[in-house]
Amino acid sequence: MNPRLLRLYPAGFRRAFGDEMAEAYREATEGAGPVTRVREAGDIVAHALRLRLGIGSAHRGGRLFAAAAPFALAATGAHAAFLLASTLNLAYVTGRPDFETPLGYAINGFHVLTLIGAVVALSGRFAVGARTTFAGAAGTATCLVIAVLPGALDMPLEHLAHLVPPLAIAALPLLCPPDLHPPCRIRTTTGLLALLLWTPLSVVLLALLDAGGFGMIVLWRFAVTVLAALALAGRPALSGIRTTGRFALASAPFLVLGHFAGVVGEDTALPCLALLAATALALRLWRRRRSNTAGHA
Amino acid sequence: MQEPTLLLLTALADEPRHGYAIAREVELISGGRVKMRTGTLYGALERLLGQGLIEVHEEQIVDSRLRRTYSLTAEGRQSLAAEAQRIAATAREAARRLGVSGETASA
Repeated sequence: MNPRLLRLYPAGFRRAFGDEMAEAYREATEGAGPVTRVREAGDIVAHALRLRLGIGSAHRGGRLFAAAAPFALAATGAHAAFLLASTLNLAYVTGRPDFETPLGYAINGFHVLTLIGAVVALSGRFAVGARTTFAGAAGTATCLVIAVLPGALDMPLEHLAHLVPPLAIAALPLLCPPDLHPPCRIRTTTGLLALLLWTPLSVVLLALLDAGGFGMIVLWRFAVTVLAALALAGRPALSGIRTTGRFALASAPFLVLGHFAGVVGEDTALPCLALLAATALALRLWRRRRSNTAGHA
Repeated sequence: MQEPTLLLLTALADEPRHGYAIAREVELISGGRVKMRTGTLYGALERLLGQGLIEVHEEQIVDSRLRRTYSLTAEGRQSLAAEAQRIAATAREAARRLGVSGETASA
């Protein structure tokens, strides 16, 4: 093992595990090709970085990110679905698409990538899904940066401030320790493909359902995508929310992205907080009922 | 219990093993689906040691390198047994409802 890899670790961890890690690494890469070696080295670098930041799976911070990761993915996916449905709805209602420039097509393409990534990650292929989600969010951010360049779409510079929160939320699942990834919800490839087929169809359906003016209250459109994403995250995600801190970290992405979607603002802040409080109470009651049932079993 | 934890504890259920042997067993038990790389493996081992589910069984010097083997603690055995019972109960109920066992499935 390259000694520089081991030096990435904090001194205490290196003393405790350095020797045997070097031996395990040697065994894992003996006779292996370059791809395996790069993956092993990459895993060591990522683990060392997590330990330095105090977010390894043995740390409280790591368990906090692991609990919040499915909700960050759900919020990011719901936000992307909401934006796509809104774009399609506007195009359907006005008869003109709002994205007639190459940049417009690119942004919507990255929204699709973000949504697909979130669906893949929440269904259980966490690592590849989380990276895809982040790639989609980074692509969107890049397009928005290009949009503020002189000569391109004349977008105000302060729009750049919109880049950071969605990107940070999309990056959060990448910090989840690999041994604490959410469980696989859909095991078969067929099931996953069916879900990936239904997802864009559902977005189109949502856009068309809104066309009659029924959805002038955009909150319901965002709520539908959020509920769908939470349903996909499922009980395993909810059972990871055991403390107030975890609940706060899990809720924050929805509030932030809801604000960026234009549905959480001054006039909707109170209903949103009431909804959060009700959700926290419902979750606490559900957990109490589960533990009572387990006690009686 | 998360799958990596379940697989790690299962890998240590029958005999103590050292790091790379645990990773190999995890891959075997999962049918090649789960590959624990070195960094992830030792992150998980550190966590399970901290939780008291595994312990250091033996330390040896092999080719002038420290090799530790790990084993389940009593608490680790209990946790694994409880999880195995839970999974088996679910599988039994699924088999019963599918009528695989020959019993009539309820309407």
